[in-house]
Amino acid sequence: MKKAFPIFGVLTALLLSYALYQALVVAPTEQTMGDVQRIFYYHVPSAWTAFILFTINLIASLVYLATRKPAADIMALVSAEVGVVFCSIVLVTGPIWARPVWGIWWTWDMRLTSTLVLWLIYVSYLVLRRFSSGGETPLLAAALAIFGALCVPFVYFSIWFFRTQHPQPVIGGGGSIDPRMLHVLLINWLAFSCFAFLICWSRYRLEEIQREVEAAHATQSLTTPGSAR
Amino acid sequence: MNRYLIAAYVATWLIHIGYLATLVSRYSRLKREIDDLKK
Repeated sequence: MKKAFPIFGVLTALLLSYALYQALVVAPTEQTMGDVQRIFYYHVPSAWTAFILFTINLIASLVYLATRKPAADIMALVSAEVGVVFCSIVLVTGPIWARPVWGIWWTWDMRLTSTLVLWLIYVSYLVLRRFSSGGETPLLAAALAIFGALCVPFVYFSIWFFRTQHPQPVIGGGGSIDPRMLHVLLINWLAFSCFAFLICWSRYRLEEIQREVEAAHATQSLTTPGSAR
Repeated sequence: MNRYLIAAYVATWLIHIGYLATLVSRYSRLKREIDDLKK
């Protein structure tokens, strides 16, 4: 596994570079929006990756509730944290695209508002995990994760259920897309998914080490009187 | 190239690099703690 990490890291870096080249050079320029449309190649894959990570968070939380295995708890924490990073990118790149296209940075449209609420739920999940020190924290966090995950399909389908300014989905919705653009979009999604996997891998190992260190500190404070931190 | 496009791509990578920097910082702190525990 130690050898696989740098190899996968190099492959991911190459894939991200290739995806960037495809997005900036190879993808055709959209007729009405021009180059601003290329934001879509970072915005949409980041949103899909965040949704996948929040779904993993739900599954890991359910596994934790059923089995109380620490590995499931770590997986839930890691997927929520990396999911928030990708969701932040969605919330930043969206307004940057909206300003030249809609003429405004933000509108309280159902898709935008529900995405912001989703982000806030997972930020509150991370705040709970960071600042609550009781033994029941993973349990409470797992329960919160279930409510957070309920918001994911709502965000995705909000553009079907409500009148909204947000463009229609490119796959499985009312929108249509040039096959060359779809190809570039899927390459970028693959690249960002690999990148997310790589970050989760590092973060998972970091959390394992942190728990080992905390356990060692606890043991040390029990065996050496006066050394409690 | 369009300034909004550049801003979106730069913002994306700044967020990723910022997060990776926090991971590196946490790892360095843990490494120091491990070294202290070994003493």
